[in-house]
Amino acid sequence: MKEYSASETRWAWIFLAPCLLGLVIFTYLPVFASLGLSFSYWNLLGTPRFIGLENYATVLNDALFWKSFGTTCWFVALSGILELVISLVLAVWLNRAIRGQSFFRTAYFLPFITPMVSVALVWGWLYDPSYGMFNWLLQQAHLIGKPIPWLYDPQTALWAVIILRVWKDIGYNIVIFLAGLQAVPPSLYESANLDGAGGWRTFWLVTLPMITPTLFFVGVMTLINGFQAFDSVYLLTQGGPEHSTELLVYWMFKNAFEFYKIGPASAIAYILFIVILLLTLVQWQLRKRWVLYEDETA
Amino acid sequence: MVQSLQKFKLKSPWCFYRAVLACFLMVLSLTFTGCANQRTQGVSIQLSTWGSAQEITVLKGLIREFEREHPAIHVSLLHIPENYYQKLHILVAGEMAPDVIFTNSISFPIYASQGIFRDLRPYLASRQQADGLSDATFYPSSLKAFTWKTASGKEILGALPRDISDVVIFYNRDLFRKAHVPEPQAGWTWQQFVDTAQALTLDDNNDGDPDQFGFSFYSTPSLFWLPFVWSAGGSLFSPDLKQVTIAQPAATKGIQFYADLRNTWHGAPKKVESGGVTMSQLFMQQKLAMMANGRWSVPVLREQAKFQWDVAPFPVGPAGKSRVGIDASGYAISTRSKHPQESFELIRFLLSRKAIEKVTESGLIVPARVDVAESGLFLSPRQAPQHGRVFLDVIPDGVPTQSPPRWNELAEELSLALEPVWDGKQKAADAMKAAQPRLQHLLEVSP
Repeated sequence: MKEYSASETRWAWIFLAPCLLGLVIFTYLPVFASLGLSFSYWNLLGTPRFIGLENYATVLNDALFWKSFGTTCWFVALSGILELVISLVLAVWLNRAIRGQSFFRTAYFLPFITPMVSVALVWGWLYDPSYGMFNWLLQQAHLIGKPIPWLYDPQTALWAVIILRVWKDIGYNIVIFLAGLQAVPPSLYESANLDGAGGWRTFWLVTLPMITPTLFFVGVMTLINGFQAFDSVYLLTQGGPEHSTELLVYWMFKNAFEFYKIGPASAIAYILFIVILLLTLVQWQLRKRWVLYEDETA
Repeated sequence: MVQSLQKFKLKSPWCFYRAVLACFLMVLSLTFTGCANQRTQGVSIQLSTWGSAQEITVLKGLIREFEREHPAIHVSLLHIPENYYQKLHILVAGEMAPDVIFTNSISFPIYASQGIFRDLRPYLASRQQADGLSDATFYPSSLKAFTWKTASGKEILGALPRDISDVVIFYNRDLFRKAHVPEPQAGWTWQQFVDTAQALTLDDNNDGDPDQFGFSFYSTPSLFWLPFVWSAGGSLFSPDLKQVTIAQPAATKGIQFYADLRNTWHGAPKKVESGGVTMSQLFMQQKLAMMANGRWSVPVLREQAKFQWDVAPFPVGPAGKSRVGIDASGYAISTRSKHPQESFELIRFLLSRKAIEKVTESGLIVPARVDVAESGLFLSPRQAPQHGRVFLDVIPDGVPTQSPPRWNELAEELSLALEPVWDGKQKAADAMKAAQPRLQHLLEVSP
């Protein structure tokens, strides 16, 4: 490693300072503050008061918390599986030398970089039961008779939110998968071909094992992002109807900024943190069973 | 500098100059903000409010006038158009509460119970400070809405009312004429109301789905359906806020009536039928004949409605009265304000006859000042609504909103329990019986 002179180090700190300061003030301080607040009673108007584990007891005894937790797990599982499968299929298809490849890549990536606020506004109209384009298209195609209520029925609202998430996120996953696919050495395909393996066999026995590190990364990220989903629900359904789209982070937000129950809200945040941490650890352990790393093959 | 630049091997000097420029601009802007704060020699007070662009224009004019009259007081306006109370909570938590706070009577108890608002009674009692303002200036219900009993049993007046919000029925006169339906009259009954709503629900293209609806339907906020509960003789809470009374037969009768209007008699649109379109939009598009709403929709209707419209009171219920909620909005002074005297001077100015007349002129408010409300300025039949007096006529029988400190949670719980009722899946009596214990619990536990 190269040695840096004192003046270089000083300048490095000066240049890093704005970013570090932002990180400390807006990330680290709130993280510790909310840990403290999760053990306190505070309604924002008075002074916080230490009450031990009471907030955690309140939250864990709250039926709505468990309903929201269940909804979130369901949401993460369904949208996660759909995202992984669809984006992998599309990535494999895009990885072949097809006409307009770069056009499709851009097209799939576009939703990911579009701000959720504008997306949700448009999708709110697309989903509209009487005036929305989805129902109109489905009715034109004679796939449905009566209009689907989408966001206005507890049976369909969560699906509507899941479809939006899958549509919005696959672009990002496709890019990562494509990077993984392009790293697979062509020689492996050649030898598989020589051994007489067909398209499916090649995919199962060569492509899929070779991109397991990518699959692992995308899986973990999808899981974490899924648990943190907030904006689509905030903008489209506000948790309704009948709490059917009450995702955990949104429920936390409601507790904090609608009911002004900062203590229980912070407790929910830490419970969520523990859940995500545990799930990631489990994935990390399981990884040894199915993820193939280059250094292991060498 | 150039040396250090080379050391860091920044891609181009342009990058570095841009960074320097950005820093320079930041410092510059900070300096200017600092200057702005010190511009006046006298006292600076902050006023927070929500409101439409039109309302803010009127308010800004008033503030300019106030500053001309009081050169030693500078007023900075903090306009929070959305999520007003969230922002206010954060400001209080950050010890940055504005000096003068505009609040409505529904959120008032949350702050009053935490001692956020100064008692304005002494100011009103002192003839010199009140300068013409007294209890008699305002409608009694609007003052009552801002009265709070502290834990020590002392009664304080936490805010002075600017306006009264009550709910009436706006209706499209053209649609009534076209369907040959008589226009609603004060004293009409629930039955007449249902008949009217049904007669105005039309399926012009005969596809089985109505294209025009009789009456608006809102699941929330409760102020749009509580009139039916009250007019049936029911209530949400007991007057002392100790008991939840929404599960009692009179109350559930009112809820059931509103749900039946939609699901049994098809006089109001279902969720699937209205979708993402608001009731105000449907009304504006002439797809809704009658709409429950407040005075605040008048300016938009005056400006944009391409049809004749008027207002009528809610129908008289089985209990023999037409009752709607009476809320108030007004100005409070923060207990943390360093300039309560100047803050009160601002409030006194904003509530003066001259100022209230200016706000009333825009059509936006039912003034809490009796003299302005009873004046031609408010009641003039030259502009719609022709029966503007309806807004005043409903006040005596009105029900001041009861909002316990945990109102937000209660409202959420209530709306959750009512969703299956509004969808016609559950009877109001069953749903409210099931919700009663949890509501009672939320009412009893301290905030």
